[in-house]
Amino acid sequence: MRRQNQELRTKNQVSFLRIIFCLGSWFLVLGSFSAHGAERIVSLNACTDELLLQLALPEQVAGVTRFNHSPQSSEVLNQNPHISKLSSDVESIMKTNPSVVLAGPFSNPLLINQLKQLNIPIVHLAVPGNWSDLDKAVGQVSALLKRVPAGEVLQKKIRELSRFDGQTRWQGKRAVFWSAAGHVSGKNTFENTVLTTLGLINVSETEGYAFLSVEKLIQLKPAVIIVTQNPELKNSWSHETLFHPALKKALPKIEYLHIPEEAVSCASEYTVEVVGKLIADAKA
Amino acid sequence: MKKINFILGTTLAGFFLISLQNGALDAGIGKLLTGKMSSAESAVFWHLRFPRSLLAILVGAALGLSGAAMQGLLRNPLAESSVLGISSGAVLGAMIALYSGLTVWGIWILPLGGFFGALAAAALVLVFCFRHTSLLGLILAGTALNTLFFALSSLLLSFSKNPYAVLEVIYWQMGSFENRTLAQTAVVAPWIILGSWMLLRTGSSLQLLTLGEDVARSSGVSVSKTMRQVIMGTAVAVGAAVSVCGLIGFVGLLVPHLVRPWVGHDPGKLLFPSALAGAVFLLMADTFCRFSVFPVELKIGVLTALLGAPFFIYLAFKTKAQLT
Repeated sequence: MRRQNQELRTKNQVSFLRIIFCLGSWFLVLGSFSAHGAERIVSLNACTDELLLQLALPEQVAGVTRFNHSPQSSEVLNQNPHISKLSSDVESIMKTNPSVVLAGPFSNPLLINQLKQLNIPIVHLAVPGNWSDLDKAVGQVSALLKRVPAGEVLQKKIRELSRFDGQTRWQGKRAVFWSAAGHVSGKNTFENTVLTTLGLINVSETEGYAFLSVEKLIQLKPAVIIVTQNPELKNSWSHETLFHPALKKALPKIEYLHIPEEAVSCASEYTVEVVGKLIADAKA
Repeated sequence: MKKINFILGTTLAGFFLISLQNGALDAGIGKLLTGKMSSAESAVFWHLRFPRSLLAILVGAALGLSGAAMQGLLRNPLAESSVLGISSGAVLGAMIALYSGLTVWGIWILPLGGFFGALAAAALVLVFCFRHTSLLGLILAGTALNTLFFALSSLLLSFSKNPYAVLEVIYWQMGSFENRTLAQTAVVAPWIILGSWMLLRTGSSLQLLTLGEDVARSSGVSVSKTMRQVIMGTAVAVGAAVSVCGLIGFVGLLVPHLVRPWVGHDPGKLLFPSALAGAVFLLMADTFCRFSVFPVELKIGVLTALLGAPFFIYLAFKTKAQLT
């Protein structure tokens, strides 16, 4: 019995030491970044691209993904041709000589492992599900870049939106976020946060993202439909679902609000700008 | 013959009514006949359920008919548009239309892309058939074409800067009649009808071809003309069907085999019942997809593949003596 207790105690001590070691290493890595500011950052995720391009000095960005970027980020990329648009192979990433790599939850785990083996520090950022998450992510990235004041400007705007009381002309109306092929956003999504901020009530009761048929949507009787449309995919069948004739015939008083897809696919400064504009219009 | 057509026609009418009746809202035939439908229910009935059911009938008929015609022409029980790469060709053609930006000119561009893709694939199959006549060779050629078109589609996707384009194609390849509009049905219906008409006209020639090409020629059948008609008809009908509903495989393989015990092995007599049976089959499958107990609606292309692939393997084993 005594021997078993001793073994258990030793195991606990080892685990405790491991935790202390991991935390210590993490603080050392963060500390080294915060002391000097990361020099050459590579982003492996379209959402971390957004935060990086909006908060970093152009010379701090070594590479981003080649996927959609908001108008602001696209402008940064156009003005700074030295920023590589990367594919997901280790060599092209290593060629940029990164000092740190930003990854999202859906970044390729094999690639992440390979980069770790090459001693490249990886910073993982979660997908923001609400304003508070976005605030936190902005804080993390701006600290990493040693650009805290720039982050604080954005954080101030985010906090203003999170405190907004939802008094718009849409207040209390039933609404849905409606994307290509009948994709809707339910609870615990950033889109749901946007709806709530605008004073709207989300008719989609699912957790996370789901598909809804047009008939089911008509049954839910939304008064407002927020459409995210991708102009490049105009006339594709999945985008025709967005404005299905049955919707207009069944719900003739329905109000369509258009939000660019890049504004909600990744929560960023662009999201803050678009939602802020919607609120301003609604108040006016 | 007339009896089987009557039975299939009646079944089709029955399933058409069931399909119109089925949905989230209480907007069925009863309310339509009694005039108690609200404007929302009427919109659901006429703009969602009606085009969906109509499209399932048209596409099912086109796939069943093209499968029967190809099996008759190639005298191969495994011949079918998706097995031989014609459907994948249609997907590639429609994808080229989508990503080249041509679709902004109008909704008819997409079916046109599907048609040209299917035509190119069918032409390649035809060239191969002229050179190699073994069953195994044809199936291998179909597999190679499917792989080639899949690779080309993937290449297009990998060039895409838009992650949503990838999702678009993935959903599309699953095949579905969900949320299709009357306008989309109206765009593809003439093409499907034209293609089906071309295929139905080949009945007597296909019948004579079963006696061998020489006998058929001596009876006044132009083999090359019949071949062109079948390939063109399949390309037009299947290309249009795929461009609006995505990839729905194995219908053309399954349906003629299900009908054959009733009408015999005459490919000419198999055509019209296969069209009817294809329509019944897809309408039934689509109704099942809507009734299914899964949290989201099952995609019809997935269901037909789940049913068709094991049947294909069964047929391949059954005909293994011919394959080797």
